[in-house]
Amino acid sequence: MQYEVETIWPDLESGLDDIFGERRIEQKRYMTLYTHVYNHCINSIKSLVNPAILAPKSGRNSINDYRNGSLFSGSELYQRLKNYLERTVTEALQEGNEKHDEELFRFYVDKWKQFCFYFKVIDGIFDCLNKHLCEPGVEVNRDSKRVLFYVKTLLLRELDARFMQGVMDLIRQERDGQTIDRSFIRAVVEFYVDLGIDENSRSLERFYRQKFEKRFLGETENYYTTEADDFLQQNSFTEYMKKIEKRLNEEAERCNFYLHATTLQPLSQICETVFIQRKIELFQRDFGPLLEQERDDDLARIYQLCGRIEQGLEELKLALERHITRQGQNAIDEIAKKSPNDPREFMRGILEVHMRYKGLVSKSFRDEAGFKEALDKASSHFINKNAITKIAGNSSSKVPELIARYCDLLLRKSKDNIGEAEMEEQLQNVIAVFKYIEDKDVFQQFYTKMLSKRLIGGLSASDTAESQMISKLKQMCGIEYTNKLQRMFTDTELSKNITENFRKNCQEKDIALGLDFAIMVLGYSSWPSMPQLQMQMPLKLSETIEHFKNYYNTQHNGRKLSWIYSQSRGELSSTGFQKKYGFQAWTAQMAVLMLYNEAPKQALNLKEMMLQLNMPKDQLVPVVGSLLKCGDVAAGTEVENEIADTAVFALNPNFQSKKIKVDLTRTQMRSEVKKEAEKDKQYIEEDRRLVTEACIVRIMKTRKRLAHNELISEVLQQLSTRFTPNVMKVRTSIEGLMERLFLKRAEDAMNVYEYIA
Amino acid sequence: MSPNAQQSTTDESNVMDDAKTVTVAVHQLFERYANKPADNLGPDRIGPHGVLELLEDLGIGSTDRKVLILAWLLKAKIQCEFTADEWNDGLVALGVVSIDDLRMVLEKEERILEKDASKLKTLYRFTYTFGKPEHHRKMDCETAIVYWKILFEDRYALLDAWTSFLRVQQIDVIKSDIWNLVLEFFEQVDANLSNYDDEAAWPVLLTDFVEHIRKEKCTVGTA
Repeated sequence: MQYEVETIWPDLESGLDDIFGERRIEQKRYMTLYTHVYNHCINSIKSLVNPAILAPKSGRNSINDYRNGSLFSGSELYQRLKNYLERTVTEALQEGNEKHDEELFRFYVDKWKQFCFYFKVIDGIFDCLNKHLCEPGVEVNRDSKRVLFYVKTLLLRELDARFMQGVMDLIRQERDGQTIDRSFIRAVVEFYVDLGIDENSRSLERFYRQKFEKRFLGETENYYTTEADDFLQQNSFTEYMKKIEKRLNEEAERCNFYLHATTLQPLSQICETVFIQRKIELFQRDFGPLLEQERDDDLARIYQLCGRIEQGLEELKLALERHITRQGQNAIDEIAKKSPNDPREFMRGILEVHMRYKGLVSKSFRDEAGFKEALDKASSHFINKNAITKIAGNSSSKVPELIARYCDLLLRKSKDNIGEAEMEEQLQNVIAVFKYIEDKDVFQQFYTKMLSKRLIGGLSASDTAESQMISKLKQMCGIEYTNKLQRMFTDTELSKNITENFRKNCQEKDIALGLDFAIMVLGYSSWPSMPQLQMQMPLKLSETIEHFKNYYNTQHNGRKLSWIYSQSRGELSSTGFQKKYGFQAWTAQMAVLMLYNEAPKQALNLKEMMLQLNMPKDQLVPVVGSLLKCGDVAAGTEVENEIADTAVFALNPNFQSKKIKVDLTRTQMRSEVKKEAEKDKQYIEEDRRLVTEACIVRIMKTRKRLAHNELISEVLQQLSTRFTPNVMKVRTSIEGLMERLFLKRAEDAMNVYEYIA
Repeated sequence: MSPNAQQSTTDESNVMDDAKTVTVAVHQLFERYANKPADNLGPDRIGPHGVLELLEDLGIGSTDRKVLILAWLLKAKIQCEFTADEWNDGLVALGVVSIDDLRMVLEKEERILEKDASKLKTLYRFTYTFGKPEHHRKMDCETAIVYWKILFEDRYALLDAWTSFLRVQQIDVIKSDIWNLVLEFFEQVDANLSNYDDEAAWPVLLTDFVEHIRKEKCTVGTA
């Protein structure tokens, strides 16, 4: 038959020779060749189908057999074409046997360009075969360029064998530090990429990835694995990190210059695995010592490098937390040995450690959230639990007290008050530490007391600083936290006006008080409780009090004034001593001294004083005691610990002082400090109970119905900004609220509470 | 329509007649126990003495659980007393006209309670309001213990431990929430406390109790 392979092949072969021989092929000749293939294909299919009809096999198989080509006689034609191409291409490439490296590569590139054109023509001629051809195991309906593809594989086989090692060697040489012709490698890479371009979607995959990248990455891994081990044998770990940094940069640059951009990711990953992941225990081992040695740059390097791998930072965060906690506790250990009660030392110790690591976290660890958290956890740990709290019997009020006292030192008028800018900075520091205090309500209590003393005593260094501090506290804890502080401040301001207006009023009404008078009117609910002093005021003072009462009532009808003598003080001048002295004294001290106005030489016994001042003994004794200490008053009889009713006191005519103005208020009349601490504790407990209940009610009011566990966790979370809440106490509060019918248990579920509107 | 309507009127009147006989019978029973001179509560109430007589007739002791069941069924407000309304409405609703009927009803109810947890719960909740003095909000602890014993007898193994715990801790009153939860506790928690859930909303007192038992067990274990 005229369509048999044997018949048409010679003509086809001469046509192929023409193509490879670069001889021109006329259209008519092209059509003849095309027709050979076409007729052959059509005929083969017919001869294939007919016998199938005559002797049908099982239906399923016949199609598959056709498809997989085992029955397709076109396969013989395809085989011949393949053989022809293999022979011709191999022959053509032999020309390059004498060539090397770049010359060889140029040769391949040229050949490739030629072949590309030839194959376009060949593909045209064999189009029909392409369409029907099915190789065993290969999907049908493949693109028609399979002939070209075949040649590509041929070409690559040559490239792989004769060429790839050379390229890899060049890259190795470059890594070893030699200069190489990079543009050559870039051309090779581009060639591999181009080879794939005809292949539809997986263009990079088949040639560049499979043939080039895979090998390149393998080489990289081997090279750097050896390098890492060798380098570490001869160099320190810190040098190693620098080396890695350099290598990673180089590889990124290499990729940028002569590899395909998509290689960067797997390339970096290989480097990171080899250099970091596989050596991670070195990083973890050296992190601690580097922290100790304060090698911030190296720490930053560890952070940068370990951050590149998954979970690489977790161990470091824990190590940092442990380290800061230890540092903080060591610092406070030292302070506890020397001065466990000095707020300045305490703050200095805390700040030194905290600021050091805050700086480190921000500089070396880029303020990464996990490292900041480690800093916070550690700070909170060592600030609240340390040698000083241990000395205080693990009392949770020691830290808040010291910090409140530190604030007092800053804000109280003294010789060494600091300037505004430094004050701002110091307050900022206080807040930085305050943030970590667990029991913020205890701080609030101490702070309130001290603020109260500063305001009443007029001892504030600066009003600006006071209000700055209040607003900082407000920022951190909310308006509720600073409400009272704010009102105390306002009361003080208003009192100045009240005093001024009262003076004017006295002038208008022609009332002569015979003394200077200033008043502070304090809101009962905002100020801390103050000890009451029961006593009969000397006439001179009580007159003024009456005047003020009248005045105040005309201004604010219905307000009840109660007088807190324990906080009042005044100045008086003396004539009873050798020199003329001015005394600053508490009102009670004044009252006692004024008893001697009538007859400076007389001696009074305690009983008489009690009667005249209408003061109970336990309140009078500390007052007299304070005057004894100052030497104003001399005891007529020996004073034991216990002053008897009959003890006699007189002015001390020999009293002397270097200063003209003598401050008697400094001698504290402290009598019941211990009791007060107990009261404070009760107050805190009570306050916490109220806050807890309010919190529960607030939550339930919005949620209406809530499961036990959710309620508990929400309450704990909300309260933790003020103090460390105790679950049992929260539960007791819930029960109390149920008892008082704010809440009830849901009828249908014992673990659910409902709000009662 | 009309014959039907006729029919129903007759039925109704029959029912009415029956109801009347029942009411009369029930009220006669009431009068047997009411207005005892020793009680001195007037004709509208059965007082403590009357109740004692009633219990005697029923053949049950004064600390029998059936006494509580009776009060519950009649929705009684005050201990050892029944008003005419409570008595009449209660017995009519139960369909009881004689002491024998009443005894049977009580026995039947008691049997049901053994099996029906929700019914036990209503009786249990009723006991709290019934058992405490009328205008008090809480029940004192000793009274509560007496009622627990009547209600539970030996149903729960932990009851004795619970009552002695309350006495050691010198608890004086049992708040209603605790009363309610005690039943839940006995019903839900095994005698060995293995399934006690620390995270659940148990009142603190019950948590303390559990801690106490666990501690005791530990010391026993180590000894």
